[in-house]
Amino acid sequence: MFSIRKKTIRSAQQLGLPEDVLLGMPRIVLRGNTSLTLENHKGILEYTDKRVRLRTSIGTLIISGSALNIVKMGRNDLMMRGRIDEISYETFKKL
Amino acid sequence: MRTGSVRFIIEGLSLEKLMNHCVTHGIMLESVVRPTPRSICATINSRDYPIIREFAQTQGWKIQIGKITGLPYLKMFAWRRTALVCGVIVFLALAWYAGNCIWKIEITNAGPYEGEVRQVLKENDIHIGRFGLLLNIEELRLALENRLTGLSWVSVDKDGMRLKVYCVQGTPESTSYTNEYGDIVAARDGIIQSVRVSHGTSQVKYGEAVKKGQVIIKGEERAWNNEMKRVTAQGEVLARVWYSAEVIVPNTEIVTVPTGETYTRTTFYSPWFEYSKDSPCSFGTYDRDVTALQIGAILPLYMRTEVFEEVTEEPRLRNEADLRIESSTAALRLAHETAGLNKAIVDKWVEYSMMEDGIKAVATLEFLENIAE
Repeated sequence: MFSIRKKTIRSAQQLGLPEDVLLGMPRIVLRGNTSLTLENHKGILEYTDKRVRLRTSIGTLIISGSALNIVKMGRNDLMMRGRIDEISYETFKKL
Repeated sequence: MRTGSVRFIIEGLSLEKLMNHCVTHGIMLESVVRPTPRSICATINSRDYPIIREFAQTQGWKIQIGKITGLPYLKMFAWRRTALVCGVIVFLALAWYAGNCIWKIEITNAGPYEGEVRQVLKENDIHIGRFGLLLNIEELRLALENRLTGLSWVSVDKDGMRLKVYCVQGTPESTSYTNEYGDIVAARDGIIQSVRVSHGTSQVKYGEAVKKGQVIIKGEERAWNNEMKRVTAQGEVLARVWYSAEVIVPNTEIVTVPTGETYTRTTFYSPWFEYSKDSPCSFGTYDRDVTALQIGAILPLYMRTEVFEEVTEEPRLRNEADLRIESSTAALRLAHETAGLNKAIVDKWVEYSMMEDGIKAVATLEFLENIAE
């Protein structure tokens, strides 16, 4: 299963195709440290004004900062505002 | 389609579940704020609110509506204030009705036919305040055109709350002074200056004096076989003609002589009331001097001061030179009006005669005009 995924990623990279479209990988657009747009999320695990944990296809995405709030949250996309200090993945799926 | 939004606050544990539930059901959450760890405040489309409420009830969360906007708010607002909504509907209906009524009728260029135009409009039930939406403009225009033969063209137009009737008066056909044989007769007394004949035979020549009704162009022409045949005479005959007018101006005038008695009266007034502490003036004959002062700033309140000066009326003889100037000016003006103010005067003179009680001025104006018209 993982080898098929790995091969797909490699093929996509070789062909120059976007992985976020092919594999549903999260796509993060960060504007400075005040605004963030995330596409292809799978749900929210934790939401406080200091930390937001989101489920993605490759693991849990952690956004830390202060005065964080979700401006818009749809089926696949999410838009946040606030002071963003750190973005990290908690557990990576084995590719 | 988004019809409105609902902002709600929900209290409970593990509220992330709610957000994930929204994600699963494709519900868009906006302005999600977490005021306390046990509450979330968010805005959703009003049509999605029942789903959220149901989910909150199953999870045992407490949900409260914060603010409603859009159509649901209007619906709720209207439901609570039935009388106001009914009033607004009635007002709008009345405004619409009033906006479609005729509040002004403008008749342009009808001249002497204006009265008849108004009569036709009245017969067609056109009046101020009539509901104009169902008004048949074309029918009205035809009614005006058929009734008023003196008008050559009529247009009727409804411009908002105004009904505009624009008329063009017909030019009367030029009248030839012809008798039953087709001859042209002189329209006035005069002395012939020039004759131009199109049809017929001239009966006058330069310098000849003609009387009103005299044949000046005869309606017959000599044919190729030397026979005389009847035609309708046509042509232009310019002649010197005279118009006279007389005016009598009395040689006395009434002048007022002050007796020295005066009376002042102050009145406060507005369009709705009038108050004065002074009694009305008791003088039989008086000259009155009025001054008004606005004292109410932006309000229509005024103070009127009337100064009455008692006078006696006495007749006084007028200067003869002034009488001559006044009478001659009036007589000349009257004669010119009789002839037509657009005509150019060739010559003019005034004769005066003294009368017992005044002066009589007889003004005579000479014009050059076509007496064959």
